[in-house]
Amino acid sequence: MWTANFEDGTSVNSKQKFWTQLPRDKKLSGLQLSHPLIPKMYLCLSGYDLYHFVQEAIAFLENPAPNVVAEIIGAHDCKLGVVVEVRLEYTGNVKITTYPVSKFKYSPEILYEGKTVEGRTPRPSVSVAPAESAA
Amino acid sequence: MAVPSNVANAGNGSSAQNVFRVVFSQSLSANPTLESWDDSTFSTNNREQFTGTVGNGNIPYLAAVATTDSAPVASWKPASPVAGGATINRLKGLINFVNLSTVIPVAGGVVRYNLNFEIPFDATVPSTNTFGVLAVRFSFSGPTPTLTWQFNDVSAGGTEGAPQWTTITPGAAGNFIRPADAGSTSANVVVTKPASSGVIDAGQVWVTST
Repeated sequence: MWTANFEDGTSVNSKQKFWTQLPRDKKLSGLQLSHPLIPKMYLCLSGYDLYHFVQEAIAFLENPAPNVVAEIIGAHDCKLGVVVEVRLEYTGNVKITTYPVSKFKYSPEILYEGKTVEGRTPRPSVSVAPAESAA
Repeated sequence: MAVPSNVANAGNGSSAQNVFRVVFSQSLSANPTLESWDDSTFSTNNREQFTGTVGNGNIPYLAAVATTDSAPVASWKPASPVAGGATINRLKGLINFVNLSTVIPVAGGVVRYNLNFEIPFDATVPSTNTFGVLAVRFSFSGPTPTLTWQFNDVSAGGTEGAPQWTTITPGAAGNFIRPADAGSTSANVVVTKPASSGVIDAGQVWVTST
């Protein structure tokens, strides 16, 4: 489950809205994923210029109902020209990758503007904390 | 429209664009890919479809071409698999797969593809452990899409110019995609492997109920 934290102190999570329904009139201060198997473990990105979230799924011929295999949060550092992604697989595995913005494969429509923090270290943090204070 | 039916213009000898398609009920966030796996755990590629045999150089049997954006040239089957994703590839999990589109599908959007079954002379018979599952991997950020798998149905009069799309029934008691000889009939969907050497590309592909 993702939680988007906004600069005004409010937050929205995936139980309340789809990612594509987030408001665009205020900036995100951070984005976090909660681990499905480890309680109170949150994977957080904060201080970036842009954020995205996707669910990755597989459907097969015999059963076309989507089988979600991973949740992915990502953030763009426009100055460095990189994307940082945290991939949380439903097996519990976590993969963190950094790649050039030119390799970004997702629709630009899922990008939401963030409140940039100058001098931020471009890597995600992993927190064991209440969701409200993690990002 | 009925199953079993021949799939219009399926296989390597075809430059058709309207052969198989998948319809997405909701918008995606990235271009989908076509993959094949042993089973619905989507974790292994041990079946003969993936390992091949000495007769075909031990490469995957099943090849696919994305036809969403344009029609392929005839004889599109690649001689060998391409690492990662490509518009034309032999299918083996995430090692070799097909990128189905260059434009991200929106709600109601479709991707199209064609399949070729290469049958080597030393393929295992019976083939119950030969073929795995065909899968589409996709990403989304809004409502969860449902997928509808369809084929261009010869029995319903489907042609390249006027495709008739029939939905492939899912489930354990649903339909199957099968390689077949050219000239097969609904009463006799069989594929004949080469007698002593080499490979053949199945002359037809059928959707059947058993």
